[in-house]
Amino acid sequence: MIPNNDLDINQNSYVIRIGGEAGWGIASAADIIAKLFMKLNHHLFSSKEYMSQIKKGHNFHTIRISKQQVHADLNKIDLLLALDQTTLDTHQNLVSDKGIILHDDKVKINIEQSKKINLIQIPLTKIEEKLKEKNIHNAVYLGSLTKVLGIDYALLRKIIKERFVGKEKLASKLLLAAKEGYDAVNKIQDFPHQEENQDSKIISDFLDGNEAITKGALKAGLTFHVQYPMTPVSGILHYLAKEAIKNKNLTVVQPEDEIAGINFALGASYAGKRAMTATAGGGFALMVESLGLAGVAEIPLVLIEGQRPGPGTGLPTKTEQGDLKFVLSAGVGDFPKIVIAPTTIEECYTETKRAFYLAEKYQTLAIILVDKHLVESVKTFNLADLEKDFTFDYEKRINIINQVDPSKLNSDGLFKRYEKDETQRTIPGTENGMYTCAGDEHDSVGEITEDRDIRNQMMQKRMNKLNLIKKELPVPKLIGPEDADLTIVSWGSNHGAIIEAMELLNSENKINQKVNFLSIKYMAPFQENEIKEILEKAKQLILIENNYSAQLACLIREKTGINIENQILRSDGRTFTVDDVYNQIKQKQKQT
Amino acid sequence: MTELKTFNRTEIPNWCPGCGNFGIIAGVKKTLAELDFKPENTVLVSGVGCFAKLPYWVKVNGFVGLHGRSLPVAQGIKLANQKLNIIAFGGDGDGYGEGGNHFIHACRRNINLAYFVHNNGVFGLTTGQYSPASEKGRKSKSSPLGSTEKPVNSLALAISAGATFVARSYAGNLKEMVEIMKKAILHNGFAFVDIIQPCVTFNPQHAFDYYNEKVYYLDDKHDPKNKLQALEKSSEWEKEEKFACGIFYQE
Ligand SMILES: Cc1ncc(C[n+]2csc(CCOP(=O)(O)OP(=O)(O)O)c2C)c(N)n1
Ligand code: SF4
Ligand SMILES: [Mg+2]
Repeated sequence: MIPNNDLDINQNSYVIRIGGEAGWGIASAADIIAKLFMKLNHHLFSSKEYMSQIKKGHNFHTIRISKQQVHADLNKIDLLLALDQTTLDTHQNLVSDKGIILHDDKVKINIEQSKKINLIQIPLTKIEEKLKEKNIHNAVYLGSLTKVLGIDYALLRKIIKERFVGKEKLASKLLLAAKEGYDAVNKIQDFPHQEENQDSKIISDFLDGNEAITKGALKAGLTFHVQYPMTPVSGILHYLAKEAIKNKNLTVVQPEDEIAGINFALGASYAGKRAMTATAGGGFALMVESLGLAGVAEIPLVLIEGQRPGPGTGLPTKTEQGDLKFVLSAGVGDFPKIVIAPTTIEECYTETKRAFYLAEKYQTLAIILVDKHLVESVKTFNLADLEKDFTFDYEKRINIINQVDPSKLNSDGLFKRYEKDETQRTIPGTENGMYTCAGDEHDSVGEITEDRDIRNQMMQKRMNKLNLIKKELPVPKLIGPEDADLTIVSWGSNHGAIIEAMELLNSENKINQKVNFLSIKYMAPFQENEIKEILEKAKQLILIENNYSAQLACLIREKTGINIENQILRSDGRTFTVDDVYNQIKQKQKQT
Repeated sequence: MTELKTFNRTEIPNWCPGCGNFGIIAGVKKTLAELDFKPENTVLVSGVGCFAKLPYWVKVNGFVGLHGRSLPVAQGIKLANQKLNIIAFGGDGDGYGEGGNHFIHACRRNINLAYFVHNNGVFGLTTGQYSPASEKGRKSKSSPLGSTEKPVNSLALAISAGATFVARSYAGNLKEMVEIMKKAILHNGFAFVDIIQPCVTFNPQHAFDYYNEKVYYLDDKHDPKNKLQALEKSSEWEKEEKFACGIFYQE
């Protein structure tokens, strides 16, 4: 069904995988391949798998190319660039019939004869000797790929030149190598639909989730970012550190640890910045005490939590959705916490903006919960088209006042910022705006207190924010046919694979086997009424999650009383492909 | 000069009668008044401990955060708005124990703010356990046989971590304390002052009469530009029971 080596990309997609050792420039080669096809007017989805080491190891990138938007990985590969033996041995069985493997003379071939695979050997040793260069395999392979797929060499040359502007010496070295690779092999086929993209608006953006988050944050007026590096969200720190060179309104700090990080951010937010911090589960664990400080002192903060498999250091460069319950319950005591789990790279952009809006308006913590597969995979789309999904007046500060009415002062002249019906705050420097921003329970001006009535009032006031926030969230909706026989329930980065698998299943037109999909995005406040209604109407439910203990199922059971017994789970550090979802749903359908 | 009473609030501090913190809060208000700071442009940032309640009782902007975390908050505020005058407060438990890592890195980072540590040699608020600043052998509820740890040398630590202003002060001498506080606040960079703050309840062995005898003030013979001399001076109390006050080191 899915493996499609007929290059019929109008119907489907073409998958290229490039693999080799860390330090060989696999990532930049993958990026150049992506640019090549973007220039040829194709949509892309690209993911990477790598090991937590800087040299050697086995790293690979997968680039899926299509005329339509694509959202997830597939199992099969149409073209494998096996830069080393490990790549060849690990991935050759995934190459589809009539697919292509590009390899060089340094590897040993042991492939079943029965397979109809085009094996193409690049004389790498000879090329290296001729050019008297080592470490050029990525460029040589790029050249060969271009030839094999019948793509104009001039286009590759153009992209390499564009990419290495200012590094002309390196560019010409790579181009020499690429040309050798191009000349060394024969054309196998003509990649269809090769119009060069003149109008850059057609497919304008090619972003990973991390970059989409930073774009959303910047659009929403981010002025302060603080982050201690940690996979999979280090990209956010890198993008913003670069951005801060030219953006004079942006401060970026790398603190001594995550505890410092979140407290820097809280200080800056209190003092009037739109502030953000980002981390993975381990760093988030260090921040937990400070989450409650944001809650009790009512300080806006946007926090990005990028999940990777634990426990402990776990599988630091792989993917998982194992932090949902931890993030939801993290913190000392009860306080209003927003937790949003974007399901696509597009939503990384939109929901980050929403997080800024809600955090500032309700003066509390908004967490964007993502995972490695979402933030480190790359996809083509038009950012401008997403603008309509959620906007607010980015320039205008919400609920911040720079003048305080005398009626809002206590007898000492302090601002009753925490008064019951007060929704506004001042920032330090405001005349008559003084109060104590307090981590202790406090009265209306932030004075420490242990008074029972005040405590009750304050708890009410803070927790009521969740009711107000809930009213602002888009209502959850089923994707796919209303009257399906099976409803898939899932969250986060599984979304892409599930919708593609769902479309395939439904296109088969089998009676009594229609499938639809509930993709849950707002984890806190949880939209229990709407979700319960949808789940109760469903004929049959099946849950898909990338964790061991079905954490979303636990949340659903807690909030709605509905127990989804039928579950597809994995916790091997890998993501669900379209094939995985398709096959597993088929199997379950057969069983029932 | 801003009037002293500008900084007063009705609420009365609930520290134990005779606590060294009364001297420090008086010193802070006097310093702010003498520096002619506008209350709305001043932020006092603290953590958790007896000391940490100070911002609740001064009429300026206050931020009372978590145990050990005043420095990162204060640095975040300063980076957000350079115009604000910021004093961060720590306790010997809060600042040298729980927040010790932040202390080292604030010294290195040298962001323009003052950091005052109320050093009473104990965990006051949690009823007197030994702290990182307690003397070796100190008996307390958590060290019934006497602590086996050496006390931290915070001045030497700050100097070697790269702090550009390092001083010691004594809560029992308002005039001298205000002078140091003013210099610390006016210093352009991170200014650290360890303030000897007698805890009359849990550390009565080291109350005012003890320190009145052991404290003396650095004079012209001490060159605060000389890092080695400063380091040597900051280790004096480890050998003899006497406590120099004044500016040990300034860049
Ligand atoms: C994370 C955390 N751990 C422990 C405590 C309990 N605690 C409160 S104050 C304190 C020690 C205070 O000692 P110090 O910082 O020297 O301040 P002092 O009370 O002596 O002024 C401790 C351990 C806490 N509030 N938070
Ligand atoms: S316990 Fe010590 S430090 Fe705390 S208020 Fe009493 S005297 Fe002051
Ligand atoms: Mg103490």
